Amino acid sequence: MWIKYLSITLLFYFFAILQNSFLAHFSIFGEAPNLILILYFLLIFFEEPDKYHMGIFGAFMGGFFLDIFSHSYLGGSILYLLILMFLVKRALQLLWKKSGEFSIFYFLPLFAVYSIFYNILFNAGLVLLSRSFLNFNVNWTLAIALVYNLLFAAPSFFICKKFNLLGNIDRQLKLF
Amino acid sequence: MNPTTSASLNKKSNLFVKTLFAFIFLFVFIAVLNIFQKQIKNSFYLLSSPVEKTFWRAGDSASVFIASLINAESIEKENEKLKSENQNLLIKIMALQEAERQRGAINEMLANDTQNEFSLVLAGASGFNSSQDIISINKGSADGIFENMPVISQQKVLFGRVLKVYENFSEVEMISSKNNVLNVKVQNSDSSVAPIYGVVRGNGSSGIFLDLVPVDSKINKDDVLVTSALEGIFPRDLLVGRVKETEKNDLKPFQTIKVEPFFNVQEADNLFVITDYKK
Repeated sequence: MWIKYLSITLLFYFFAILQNSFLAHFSIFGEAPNLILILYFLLIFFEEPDKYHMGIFGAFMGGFFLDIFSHSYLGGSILYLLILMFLVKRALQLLWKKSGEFSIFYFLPLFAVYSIFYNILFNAGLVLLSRSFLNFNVNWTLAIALVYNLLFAAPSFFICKKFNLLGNIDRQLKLF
Repeated sequence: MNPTTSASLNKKSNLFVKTLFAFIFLFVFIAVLNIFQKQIKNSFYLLSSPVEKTFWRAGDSASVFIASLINAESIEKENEKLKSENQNLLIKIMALQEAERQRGAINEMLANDTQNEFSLVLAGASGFNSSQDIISINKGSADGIFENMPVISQQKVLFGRVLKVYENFSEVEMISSKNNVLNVKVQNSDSSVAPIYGVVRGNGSSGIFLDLVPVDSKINKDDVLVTSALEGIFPRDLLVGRVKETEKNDLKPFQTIKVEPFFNVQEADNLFVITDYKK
């Protein structure tokens, strides 16, 4: 059990280093994939909708490493990820009631909305701390960041599903 | 009271108390993290530095490799060589124009000899935050680095200024950051014409533009922008960018000009921090 939490912590740390150093050379119009965001979404997507342990743990670890390697104050991303977790869980609970199964067709739109909301929250946080609207950097490059993240998120979804990498999956998952 | 109602009220009350405690814990946790923010960040930079450097170099090699697959490898090498020669020639042209304007006075500081002009500390880039246009470098207060020190490349291309200093690392805010405002002058190819002054602002995502240039000033495509030293942070005549496109509107007093910056994050392996500009 503790090995799972340790592995996830190390994975967040590794992804933080990777996106800050290796992937910085592959940025498009200044945007690079955010692997921590992708991993966190996979964690909360594959956890049962009415359970929060992994989501809370992931928010603390993922948010911590996101802030360590950025210029922001520590703790901001933890807060944003916790807020997003509750919103995503609520959406998953509603979807679960409707269909009882999840597919890539739920994953991708939900991930897109989650990414956009994270960017809005992050930029709103910068504006609040600096008291300057110049720091609200939500523009057309957000679309590039979104597509770039989706390119990494979609195969990750299938890898996690195929190898059952993120704990028990009690729901049926359709192949694309 | 109905036992069911009583149990429900108890449950709601417990949930409220648990939520309150959770908020208090979160608040205290974040406060403690930020009290020790510098030490925590510095520790992680030290811990991650060897791995980050390896990945940075690996990323550099990988991106060059992929670029060479798309463009022929020989064209890429020739392009890099020409860029380096071109920037050296631009520096020499500016030095000659300045000497003409000052009527024969020879200024040793404008000579194209980076080592003698300023005191410099060589630093390596170890990370790049593209959302905030911030580069991490592997030199900090232990190496004599302070906030607001200018950061340049070996071709005297301006990258930015030191924003935050830790013991072993520093964060450099690039000139493309939205918070950045930089006084520049436009080098006209005709040395008899007085230079035009303006302000370069960061646009985020490694982009910059030139602002506050009077609409009747003549700016041409490919004109070179250099620092003017008016704001007192950056030395003069550091390369900033090249005019890409001008937008004139007679209804506005100033024209807005798109600028292609000379800095390239992917070539930021070796940077120089100017440590004695203000002394």
